[in-house]
Amino acid sequence: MAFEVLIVGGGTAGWMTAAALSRLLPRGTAALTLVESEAIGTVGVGEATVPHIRFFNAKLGFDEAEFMARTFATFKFGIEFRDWARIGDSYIHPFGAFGEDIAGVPFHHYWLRARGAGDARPLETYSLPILAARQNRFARPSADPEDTRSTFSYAFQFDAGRYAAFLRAFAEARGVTRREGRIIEVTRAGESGRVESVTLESGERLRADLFVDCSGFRALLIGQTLGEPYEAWSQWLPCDRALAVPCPTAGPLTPYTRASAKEAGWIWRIPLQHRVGNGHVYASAFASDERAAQLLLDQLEAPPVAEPKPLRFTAGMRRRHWSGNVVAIGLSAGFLEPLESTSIHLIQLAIGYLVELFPLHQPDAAGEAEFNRIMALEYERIRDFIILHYHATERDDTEFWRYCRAMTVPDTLAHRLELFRERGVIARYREGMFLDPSWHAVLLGQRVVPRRYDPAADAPPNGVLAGHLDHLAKAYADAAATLPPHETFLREIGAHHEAAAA
Amino acid sequence: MSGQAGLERVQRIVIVGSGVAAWAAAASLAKVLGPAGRLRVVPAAETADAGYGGADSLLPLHDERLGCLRDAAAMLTAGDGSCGWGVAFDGWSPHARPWFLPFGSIGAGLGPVPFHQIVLRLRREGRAVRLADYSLPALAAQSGRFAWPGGPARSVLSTCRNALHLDVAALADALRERAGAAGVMSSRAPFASAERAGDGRIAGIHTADGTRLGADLVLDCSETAVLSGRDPWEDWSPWLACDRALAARVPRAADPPPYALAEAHAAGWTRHLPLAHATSLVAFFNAARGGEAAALASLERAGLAAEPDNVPLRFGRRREPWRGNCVALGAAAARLDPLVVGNLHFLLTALARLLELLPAEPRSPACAREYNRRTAAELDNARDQAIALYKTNGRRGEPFWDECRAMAVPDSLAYRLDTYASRGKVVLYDEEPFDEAAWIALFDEQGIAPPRNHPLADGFPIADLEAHLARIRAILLDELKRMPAHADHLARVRAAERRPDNAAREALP
Repeated sequence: MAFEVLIVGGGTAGWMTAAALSRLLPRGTAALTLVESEAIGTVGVGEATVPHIRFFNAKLGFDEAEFMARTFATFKFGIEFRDWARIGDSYIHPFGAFGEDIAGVPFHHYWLRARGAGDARPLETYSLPILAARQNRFARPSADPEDTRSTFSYAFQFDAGRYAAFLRAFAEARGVTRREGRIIEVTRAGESGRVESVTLESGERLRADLFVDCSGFRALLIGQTLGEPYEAWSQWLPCDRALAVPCPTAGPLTPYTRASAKEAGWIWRIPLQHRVGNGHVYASAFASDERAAQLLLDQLEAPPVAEPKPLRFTAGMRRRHWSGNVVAIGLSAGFLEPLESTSIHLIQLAIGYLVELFPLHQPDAAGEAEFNRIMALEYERIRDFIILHYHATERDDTEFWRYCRAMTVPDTLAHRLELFRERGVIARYREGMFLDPSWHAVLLGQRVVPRRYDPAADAPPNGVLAGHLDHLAKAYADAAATLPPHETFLREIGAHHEAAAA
Repeated sequence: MSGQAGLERVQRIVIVGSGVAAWAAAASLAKVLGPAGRLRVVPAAETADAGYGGADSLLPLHDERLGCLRDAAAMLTAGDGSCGWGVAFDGWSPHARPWFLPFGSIGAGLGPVPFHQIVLRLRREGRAVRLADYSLPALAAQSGRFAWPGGPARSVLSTCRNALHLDVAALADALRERAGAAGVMSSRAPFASAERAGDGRIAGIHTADGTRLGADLVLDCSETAVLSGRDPWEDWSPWLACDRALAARVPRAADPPPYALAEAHAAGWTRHLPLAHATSLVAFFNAARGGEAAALASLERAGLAAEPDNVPLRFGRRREPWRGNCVALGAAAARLDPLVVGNLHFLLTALARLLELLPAEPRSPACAREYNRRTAAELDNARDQAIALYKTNGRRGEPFWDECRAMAVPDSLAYRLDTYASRGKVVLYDEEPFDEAAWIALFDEQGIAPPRNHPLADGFPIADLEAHLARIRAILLDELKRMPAHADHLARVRAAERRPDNAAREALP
């Protein structure tokens, strides 16, 4: 009898899991069923991603233009952060490194040296994706490493509901069985405590060998049934509510997400092809729901097309994402606010490790241990990165920002901050999706300026360094000007949703 | 534009030591400090051991900051050495055949399926497949051929790494010359004492002739840890039980084989490290288990002519090699059982790390913390790999080896062993010194056999998997055909290094 896998819950996590397992596991390895209920909504809003999503899509064999047209997707060069370190600040965390290393020394050391000597050019002068983003231009990177236009990567912003539907069609075509219905009961084996089956409202029982809990915040199996404890991170990430509301697009199609800091949280702006997704993530201990709604609605570029939809959450994760024969993927495993667009990436990572560590027998203590070790590290590294945005600020205009500034951060982040402040170096760890350029962008964007740069960066004579910086600045500016407007490019490659409809 | 004016700066670096660690540090640091900086080398009054038996191995690093230390050809020539593709382990495994641990990848995956999972599947179907048959380094080692790894991405050679087997004293001499050419000054009078400030930092170094050298940063590159010797040391002897070594060098008429040999004997092992014209032999043993006789016999079998040196061993590492403004490097910082690569390698990685974290201010606690964390992680991983070789040995009936098999290993290694045994998955931690393939080769040949392959490997018909292996084999053999004999490679490198137009490069640090 085939190994039975039951995915509990549709939505982005459930259908990504179903689609990936149906594509990656050899036929006959596992029988895949997904149970979801149309009566239960999904959290899915306009969703921004990181470049890794392209590998996921490529593994599944998706055509990029078709995927974009079907999910109303836009291209994404990075995230603009407004008002974070100081009100009035704006920096972009791009998908690409700044400048070029010289003699093995990272570029930002040379930039710091020049800055100390009075060169006022901002760091983004040396980033093609930022320059292009600010001009609303986009093109895919060049494959020629000599071309300045090879110095970036990209991701998407898309409609998560449509992405789930797109994945569902793919998964069902590959033999995933979808069952409609609410789960009213979970049955566990007496002795081992393993989950045996779930019972639907109709009375039907679905048995399986492995359950993937994609039930979202409900955490039906991993939380409600197995009681795996949730480790809250609210002392570092006090935001616990969000309001989401779409509105029409006013102005050009931007190739980036925006995160604007507010009195007690931040507002996202995610451009899709047909509308803009907006949302306010805020801390209920520091702001009322009314005030949060007002701040969100006041800054919309066009009148909202729906009522703001409220969400509640607690930042954190379960120490054990895999427990017995239940593997939690998505919000059931943990939650980190979408400040750095990491939700889908964490789903993707979990799917990747589930495939890599696919249970060979039951129970599979070794697979479980390794999955939990790795996933915890991945969550914690992203957690640190997000906390950085709040903590490294000069804002003291509200109680919320004063709290964030003064809070004690996790040791791993404290070390990173001290090391960067001391000597401009990024602490190195194997796990963690954000690489050095991302830390450079956000640390410097948050005005964490190293006291000292690398002594080796003093090697080039003044004139040589200045000439090199001039040359780079011109190369990036020239290259950015050659990219077409974002919307033009989107239509040219057939990625516009009207192309799919036609 | 230059200079980080107005701040306390590290300008005076004193290196204490007389061996390869001191000169490697001096040669690579010389260019970083610039004209304003002062770099002094103060010899330590001690006899430099220069690695076990005066020879050691390393895997070249490509970190640009290392300057001349990343020039494999120059180091090969300076160290009168040879190149290696890996280590042949003889007498270690349960199957009793010698096996080869190659540097670099083994085979190539098929779609999402890792290569070794394909091999596990084929074995389950009754096919006898050896990993080493799909490794260019292993094949080249067997046939005595060598070419520098590298080349275009996706080429087979770009997936390989190599070792250098070097005469440590000769390398140290060459590095001293480079350092001197780069303007590094060295004191004639040896180290006498360190002047400690109230906070424990070293304010200056006094030499035997009464000179005081002010110091912002001090590197303890001495063999006997004259500055850091009292700092806590983590002792690895519970797991790495060899506590003495006999070292000798035997001349060799034949061409050097492009690999090192680790030959187990009744109470330890013997390293055969081919240099350009001689072979360095070091027999590591446990004295209490009567290893000296076995060690001696092993050297005699390898042609020992003269009385060998008998040296004590102390495997372990400094818990915090960087304390205050003093960084211990080389033997003062760590001593590893050099089963896979030598201590010279970890000197090089430590230097690369120090250059990345080179403090700009005398007080740099975060740099020290990061340096210590990464150093400890890397060394513990290397330690685990060495312990794994002892733990999984297949020699039954010899007390030394029976005890090794029975020993409790560090948790980090126990976890790796369990995870591999369950499914052929290699656990990797921060700062792994070797590729995943080195762990796979070790586990596989030392008899850790997962009960079944990954289900992904079941997704292909057997014929497809066999065709994939045949394809790899053909590509490797084709590459092998084009590869020169190791001796020819060495001769060519030496000739190129000694051409006059290389003189300019030699002068650079």
